[in-house]
Amino acid sequence: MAELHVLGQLKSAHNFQEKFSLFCRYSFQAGPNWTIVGGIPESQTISAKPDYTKTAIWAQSLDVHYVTRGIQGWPKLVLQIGCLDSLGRTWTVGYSCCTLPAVPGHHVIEVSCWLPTATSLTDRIREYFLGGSHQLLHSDIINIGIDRYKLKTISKGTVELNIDIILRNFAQFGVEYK
Amino acid sequence: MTENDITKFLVTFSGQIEHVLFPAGVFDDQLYIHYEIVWGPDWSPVSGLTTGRSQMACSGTDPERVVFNMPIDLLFSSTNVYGWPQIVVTVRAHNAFGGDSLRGYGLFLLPSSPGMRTETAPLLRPRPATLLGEWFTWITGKSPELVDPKMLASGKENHLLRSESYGCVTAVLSMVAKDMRKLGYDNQPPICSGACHAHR
Repeated sequence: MAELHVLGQLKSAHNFQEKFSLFCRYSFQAGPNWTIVGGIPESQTISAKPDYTKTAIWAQSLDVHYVTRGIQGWPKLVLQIGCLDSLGRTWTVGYSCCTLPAVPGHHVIEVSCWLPTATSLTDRIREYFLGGSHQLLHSDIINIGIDRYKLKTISKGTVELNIDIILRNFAQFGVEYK
Repeated sequence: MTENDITKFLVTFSGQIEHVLFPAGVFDDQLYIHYEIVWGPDWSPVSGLTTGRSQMACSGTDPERVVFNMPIDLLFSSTNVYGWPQIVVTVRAHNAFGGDSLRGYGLFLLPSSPGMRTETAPLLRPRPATLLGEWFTWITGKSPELVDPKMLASGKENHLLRSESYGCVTAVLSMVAKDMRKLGYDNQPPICSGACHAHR
């Protein structure tokens, strides 16, 4: 069976407008042929306070070892960025999803994030004064493209990822990746 | 030894931790760094120093930069890529009263493909969890520290930690591997022009 190693760092978040600490819940999602044999597929980063350039540093190290029987459903990384205020309240400030590169070597990836907006005026006023946000009930919508037309979203900041890919035995099974 | 007998691959890392940069200037006369290498279960160090401490350094004509040029030279052997080695750099400062305080932690993943790489890791510092702790930090100038900085490299169970960041540390690292390709691994980026620049 072919193996895929994903190494790297979930490095930082840029240009989120929140003044409070940011954290990120992430999970690796892959098709049914893929199994994880080493590493943590789902975790949460530290909550980092954005600096004067609106950059929050997480430096979360990623290390996942996949074994696969087919190339269908190449792994994706699903991100959910949260915000922790000074009173200890948390809410979601962004969702995003990115496909992991299939080419070996070092990759720097910028992932753009989005968030469901407040649709009614009362919701908007409440968000402005009390904080908080709308969030998704079903998180499948982040990495699956169906039923998105009902959503109204707003653009948020970006997340920087450094990913190193190492493949094993893919060429042996005739997979052409470069 | 025939090709079928090979179960281990060897990886050497060499390079140096070049400098630390604080964009608002360095206010410490005695800054030093301490590095630790963290590796996974299937890895074992063969030669080289896996922990080290640098000289005391201060800034020169450039008031933002402190040069350390701390060399790193390591040889690892492993049977599995999982648990690829990482460096945790701790930047600390001595002050005039003999105290010792933290300036930040930086985390590098050692390069996984051959070639020279210049990497910059931002420095992060834990933040006090309570208001009382914040006052204590402000009065004494001592910020909270991690008991074991290696927990940053493991990447698990750190979601209760709050941090802020200031400054960065730069390292130049290169990697050479032996027998990785014989074991079926492919870590070579393709040689191409134009089309694959989108990924860099």
